[in-house]
This record gives sequence, structure tokens and C-alpha cells, in this order.
Amino acid sequence: MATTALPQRGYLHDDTPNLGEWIRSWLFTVDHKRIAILYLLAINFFFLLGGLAATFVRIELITPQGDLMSSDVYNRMFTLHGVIMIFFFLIPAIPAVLGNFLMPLMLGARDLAFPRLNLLSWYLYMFGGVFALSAAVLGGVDTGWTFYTPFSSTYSNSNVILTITGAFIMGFSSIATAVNFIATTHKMRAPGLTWFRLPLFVWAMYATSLVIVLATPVVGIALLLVAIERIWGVGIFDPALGGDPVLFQHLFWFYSHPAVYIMILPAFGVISELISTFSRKRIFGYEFIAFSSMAIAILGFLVWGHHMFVSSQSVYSSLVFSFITMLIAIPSAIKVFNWTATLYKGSISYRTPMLYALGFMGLFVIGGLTGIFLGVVAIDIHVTDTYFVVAHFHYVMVGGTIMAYLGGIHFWWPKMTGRMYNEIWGGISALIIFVGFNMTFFPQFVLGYLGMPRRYHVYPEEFQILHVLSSAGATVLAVGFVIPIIYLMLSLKTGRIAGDNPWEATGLEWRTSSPPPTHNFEAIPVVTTEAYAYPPEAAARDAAEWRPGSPL
Amino acid sequence: MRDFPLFPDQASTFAGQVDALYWVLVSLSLIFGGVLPFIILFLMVRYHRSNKAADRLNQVHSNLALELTWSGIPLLLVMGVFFWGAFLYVHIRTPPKQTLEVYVIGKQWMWHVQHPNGKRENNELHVPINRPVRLIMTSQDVIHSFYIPAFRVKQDVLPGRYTSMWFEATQPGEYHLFCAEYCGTEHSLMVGRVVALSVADYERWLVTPGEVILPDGSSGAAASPPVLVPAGGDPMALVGEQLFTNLGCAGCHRMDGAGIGPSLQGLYGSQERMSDGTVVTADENHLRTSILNPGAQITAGYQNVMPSYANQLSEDQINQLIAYIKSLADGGSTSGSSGSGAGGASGAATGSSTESAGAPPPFDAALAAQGERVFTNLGCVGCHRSDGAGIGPRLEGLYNTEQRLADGSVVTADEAYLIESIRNAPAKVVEGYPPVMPVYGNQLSDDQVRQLVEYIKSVGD
Repeated sequence: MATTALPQRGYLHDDTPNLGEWIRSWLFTVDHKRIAILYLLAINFFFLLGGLAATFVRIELITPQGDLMSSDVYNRMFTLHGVIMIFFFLIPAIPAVLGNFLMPLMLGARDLAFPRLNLLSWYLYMFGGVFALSAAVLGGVDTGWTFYTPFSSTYSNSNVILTITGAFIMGFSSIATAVNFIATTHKMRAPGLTWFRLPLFVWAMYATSLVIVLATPVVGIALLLVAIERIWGVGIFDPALGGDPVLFQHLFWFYSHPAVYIMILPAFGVISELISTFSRKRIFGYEFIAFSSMAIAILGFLVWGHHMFVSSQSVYSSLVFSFITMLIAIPSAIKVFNWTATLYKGSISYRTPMLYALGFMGLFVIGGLTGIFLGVVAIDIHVTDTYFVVAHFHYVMVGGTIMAYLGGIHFWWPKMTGRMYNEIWGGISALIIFVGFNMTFFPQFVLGYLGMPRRYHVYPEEFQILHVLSSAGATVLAVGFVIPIIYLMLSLKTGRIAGDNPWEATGLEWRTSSPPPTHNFEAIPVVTTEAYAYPPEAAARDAAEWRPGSPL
Repeated sequence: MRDFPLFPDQASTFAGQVDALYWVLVSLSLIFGGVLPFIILFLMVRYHRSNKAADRLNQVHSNLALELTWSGIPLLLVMGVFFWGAFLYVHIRTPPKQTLEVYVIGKQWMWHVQHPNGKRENNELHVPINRPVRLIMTSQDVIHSFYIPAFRVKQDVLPGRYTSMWFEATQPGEYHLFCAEYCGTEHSLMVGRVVALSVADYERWLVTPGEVILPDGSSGAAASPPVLVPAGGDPMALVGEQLFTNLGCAGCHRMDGAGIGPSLQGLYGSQERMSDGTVVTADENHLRTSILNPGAQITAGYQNVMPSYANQLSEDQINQLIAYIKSLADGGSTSGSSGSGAGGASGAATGSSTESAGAPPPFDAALAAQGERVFTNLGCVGCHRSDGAGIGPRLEGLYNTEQRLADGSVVTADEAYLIESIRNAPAKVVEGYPPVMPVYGNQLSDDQVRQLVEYIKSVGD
């Protein structure tokens, strides 16, 4: 039981006699922490690949002519960028890496509820990735990540089936992870860890998991139907075969709008942890942040039609979808206000994770507010399918999800590896990413309102200056993404030994060694306080102890 | 330095209205998105750990009043924005009664436009200013989207149905026309220009001859060069009427309402009750469905007997038919209906059977030629289709063969039988066909019946 002594070696400890055994010890591990590392490597690989495709897109767009590549290659590039980034990076990033690593630790459990299912989910992810990559290698796919019919089902002459299969398989990986998280949260909380003592990261992962389980099957079926129409000519979406092209959009967005929240809800969870820790005080409005995650998860299912305001949807449907879209802005606003209030009377330090969290708040506010523009039908008619939309969802996805992912990676890096990263380079690259990101995507709002349509290989000359600005910003952004790869790798060898709790944070994950032992805890912890139980004087004491030369 | 705009032209009545809402949203966003970062920055500095002077005691961890305030105020604001946007949206989606209707066909990767007077253009749209214009759009292949940024309007263009949008240009000039829904390889070249003209210039432009490629002219055989046609053809409604006659629609859709199909007089825009009890508005999409998939929506009181014209008509021709049917709604029909003489016989060669070879029975060629015209104008061809798929028996090779009737008896399809069937069809109905052919009784002169019989005799196999 809880008192059973287990061998206390870090989960990274290598006692295998030879290389073959070492590979087996990783590829057949059922340790959630090792699986998280497997995910970390795979997901970052896909991120770099998706980034490479984006690089080609941005280089092409420096000139209004199509000169670097043909239109077919350009179309394959932005499709590759979208498919890889959405399905193989943004959706799994925080749940599969940070969630996998942290859920059992935060819950005081020895592992997830279904460790083998967890390993299977990684293999499904890789298997799906192989399909998507082979589609790219064998000539690419040119439908855009949205696979709109009847273009995807009848007209496109590219590897639609392979790509769809990749996304389909990857969906099962998400579902497996989500089922695991739900079961673990319900059944494996440590003694005393009641629902309202859960860290907000767990709340966010729980809400995300519900969305994944309920929404992902729908996109799986929709993609399957595209494949059926494409292979056997069964009339489902193509009106020439008696189908309905808009039906696909309904099915697709019924998943893909909730998918936006699959990407951003985990980010909210990470930010809550970071803000609290680096303000050295309890989070403000715990219940409101927790319930706003659930509200977003539920309302997120009822707004898919706002992607289809100009698709021939009836006026009444559009108004209803617009109304609910307005409502969903509120829980997001609640979170931002509560995080801001948490800063008040805290003792704030500018460590790298906190810089990412503060950057997240700035960028997510812009992403969220421009979402209201798009939710107002009269304005959406003008800006939908333009760079305004592109800018908006990059502010949410990159400014939100990626900022939180990087902040989380830095925050838990000492726990995952036992070593500290270089704080100076960390701060520098966080600033570079913030500046580069705004340079890249702010001009795109202007472009979009001017009317520049998205997915254009060739564009009118008057848009060139804004495109050049955007591409210049993308260069800065790329530099910002490369620097952390270098110093994080170096830290594995040269980083300072972190100790169990370098941030003096409160979560259960900080009560075990860094890196944690295979079975996480020497003894299952007993929880007697709520999350973020910083003593009232913690902030004042932290400031009093600060000396010139201490970390900022 | 090249042109470097930061804000789009305002060239329609919508532009100012949409922009006003946009700027209000920008201002509200600045209050939140502009002020909130400064609050965060202030707190970041004020409560940085190096600032020992700050008061950090008596922390607050929740405050219901505060939560309700910062939930309630944004809620009120977004509701205000929603209702403003909703009224504007309904306005944008509600065309006025009198609009200039222009038909648009999208295809990979061009826009084809036809004006009511028959004038055609590709990748351009000429419109008059200060007059509401309504575009009736469909696609020949994938989904496209018709987007005019300077007018702040955009509408997806779908295959298999019509979508429409309207606007009223205010400033003469040339504006971008974009396809905004990704449609394949040359998506970014599916662009053009919208030319807004003063009414006088527009009228002049309408009658200026030119040449364009038809939407289906360039799609078919890759080997043959695209077919150039004169841009200024006959008015769409007139071409539609000829099609209506040649296809034989008039045989069933008689304007006096006595046909086996509903009369089309005054149909467009009316509320029609269907056989399943639903009520539909007879708009472009209902007309389109009724031509291509007649069984989908049957007008109450009529049989499901109309053959489908799917794959027999181009998008262009469907537009013309619909333009004609719509012209019947505005008061009197443009010409007489069934049974009129040689009104629209110019396209008779598109009838079914003139290519027949072999050795038909002896007949009078002159009479047969006249008979063919009658056959077409009466709309017989609509049901008696040469491919045998009509709701009436195929007439090719019919003469002097033995036919089994619905009552089980057998007759020889001689001249007497043919005459009887024309004059009084229900008397001897061929087995397997519904008794739906109207009685032509005394509507036809003996000469006309004679001509018809000679024509039927002439069509051997």
C-alpha cells in the first residue's frame, strides 16, 4: 500500500546492459514519464517540420509573383504546414507531453490508469504520423488542412487518402490519452485530493479530455466519408453524385471548433500554474477559472457554425451561432482577469516561464478580441477566408498554445530532467519570440481587412510591403524557436542540478525527486490543503529575501 | 514607392456601415486589449520581487462582486455588438424587391458572368452604381467564394445549388474580385475586377460587342481550343424560352394550368404547397431542383411524372431557363404558350430524331418536316423522349408495330391509331405508361394531325 518502499531511482536512470535493451526500455516502457519524453521528441520533430513548411510559404510570399515554387507546390506547402501543426503538434502538444508527464504526479498517483493504453496512444500517434509523412513524401496533398469537399473528395489529384488516414489514426491516439486522463482523474487522486483541491492544470486537462472524447469521433467519421466518396464514388458530399458539399463542413467543424479548445484549454491550465508560482501567492478566483474551463468545453460544441457564415447557411442559424460565439468570449475573459488579479500583491519574478505566461496574456487577449470581430456576422462576411482569420488563429494557437507549451516546458524542465536550463538565454529567446510573433502576424490583420484572401500563391502588388514585414517577423520568430532547442539540449549535460523544488512551488509534482522515480512517490502523499496553498506571507517574505544578484 | 494602402476602399452602401461597426469594435478592443496590458505591466513592475516597498499583506483570493463585474460588463458589451451586427447582417442578407439580377458561374479557375440582356463576361463584373445588384451564383465543380473587398461582400458559390448576394455600388471605379474559398491549383489566379460604372456608361457597356469563352467551352476536350462566342447574345429570358420550347416543357407546363405539370405563370417567388404538405418558396433553388431532380419536390395535386434533365443541361442553360421562368412572374408572358405556330422553332434540330437512318416507311417528307416543328412546339418531345426514358412511349420505330395496351389488348400502331392517340390519348394507353397525356381533341387542325402522323412515320430506327 502507500507505505511500500519502492526502488528510488530516477525514471531516466539507465541500467540496461546493451543498446538493444536500452531501446527496448524506451520503446516498450509503460512509464507515463518516459512516454511523455517519447512524445516530446516526436512532437517537436513535427513542429520543426511544420515550421519548415511555413518557412517556405513565407519566403514565397515575399514577392507578389509565384516565383519560388509552382502553385501546386505552394498549395502542398501550406497544407503540409496546417495538417502537421494542427493534427500532429497543437492538438497533442500540451496533453501528450506535459499532461502525460504531470497528471499522475499532480494527482499523487503512481501512473495513469491505463499505462499500456498510454503506450498504445504513442504508437498510434507515430503510425498516423508515418501516414501523413508518407503522403507528403509521395507527392503531398493540396486540399488545405480543412479537406473541404467536393474538392478533396472528387477534384484533388493528390494524396488525400493517405493524409486522411494519418489524421484518422492520430484521432484514436487523442481519444486514448483522453480516456486515460478522465479515468485517472476520477479514480486515482491521492487521499485528501478533492476536486476543489486539484491544480487548475488538472481541471483544464479534464475539460480537454471530455471534448476530445466527444468530438474526435465525429471528425473521424467525416474523414472516413470523404475517403469512401473518393474511393468508391458513393455520393455523400459531391452534388454531382447526389451529395451535399456543406454537410462536410458541418461535420468537420463540429469537431474542429471544439478542437480549438482542445488546443487552448490545456494552455490555460499551464498559465494558471505559472502565474501562481511566480507571483508566490494563491491563484485568484480558483472556482471561476475551473468552471470557466468547463463552460468553454460545453459552449465550444455549440459554435461550429461560425465558420460557415458565408457558406449558404440560413440567416437564422448564423444569428444563433453568432450569439453563442459572443457568450463563449466571457469565460475566456474571466480567466484573463483572474490571472491579472493574481499578480496584485504578489512577488513577481521574471523567470523564463513567467515571461512566457505574461506574453501569453498579451497575445491571447488580441487573439480573443479579434475572435469577437469574427463572431459578428456582418464583419465576418468581409474578413472570413482572409489573412484576418489567419492572424486571429495564429494569435490564439501560436500566441496562446505555443507560448504556454514553451512556458510549461521551461517550468517543468527541472522536474523532467533534473537540470536547470540557462535562464539568460531563456529570457532572451522568450522576448525574441514575442517580438517576432507580433511582427509576423500583426500585419496580417491589416492585410486581412484590406481583403487579401488566404491560401493565395500570387497576390496583388499593393499587399507586398505588409507581406515582407510579415516574412521578416517570421525570420525573427524562427530564431526565437531555435535558441531554446540549443540551450535546452546543452542543459542536459551542463545544466545546474535542479533539486526537488527549484521554484518553491506547491504542487505534488514538486514533492518528489527530480527527475521523479519510476513510481513517482516514495509514499503516496496525503493532501490536506487546497492547490496553491502559499502562506499569506509568502510573497512578502520572497521580496524581503531578494538581494541584488538574485534572479529577477 | 509603390501603392501601400492600409485600409480598403469604401465603394458600396455596406462598406461604411461595416466599417463603422469595425471601428467601434477596434475601440472597444483597445480599451481591453490596450489597457489590460498596461495594468499587467504596472503590476509586473509594482509587485516585482525586487520592490521591497510594495504592500503584500492582506491578499485577496476571491471576490464575487469583482467576478460578476468583469463578467457582466463584457457580456453587456458583446451583446450590444451582437445586436448591432445582427441587424446589419439581416440588412446585408435581405435584397430589395427590385434588383438587377446577374448570373455568375464559378469554375476552376474562372468566373463567368451573364447579364439579363445576354451580355457575357469572364473574370469581370460590370455593374451600375446606385442600383442594387443581385448576383445569382453557382459553381460547375468545387466550392468557390465570390469576394469584393471594396464592397465588404462575400458569398460562397456552391456546386449543385444557387447562392446569392446583393450590393449597391456607390463609387465608379475598378475593384478587386477574389475567389476566397480555396479551390485548387490556380486558386490565386481566380481573380478579376469589378467595374462600377455610372448608369449611362453601364447601358453603353451592355450593348458593346465582345467575345468570351463559354464556361463549358473550355472545360471539355482538352485538345479542342476554347470556343469563343459573341459576348452580346440574346436576352437570357428569350434564350430560356427557346430552350423551354425545344425541350418540350410547354407540353406539360401549359400556361392555362390544364397541363399535367403546374403552370409556371406567376410561379417565381410564390409560396407553393408540395405533395408532402410542406410549403416552399419557388425561388431559384426550387426551380433548379425541379428541373434537375423533379421527384424531390412535387407540387401538390400533380403526379411525379417529369423526367430529370440532369446532365442534359449546362449550368448556363439552367440559368437561362430560370431567367425565362422568372420573367413569367412579372405579369403577362412574353409570348403565347403551347400550340403557337413557328414561334421558337430555330432550335428544332436539337429535337431528338432527325438523325435517324435506315429505311423508314414511306412518308411525305414535306409534311413530316412540318410535323416535327409541331411536335417540338407542342412539347411532345418532353415526354416522348427518343432515349425511351420519357414518361410517354418512344416513337422511333413505332409505326406499324404491334403494341400491347394497358387493358391487355393488342393494336397495330397504324395511322388510325396514331390519330386517335393524338386526339384522345386516354382511350388506348400503351401498357406500362401512365394515362397522363393531355387530350389534344380539337386544339389541332386536321392538317396539323396529319403532319404529326407523317412525322411519326418518318422516324424509323
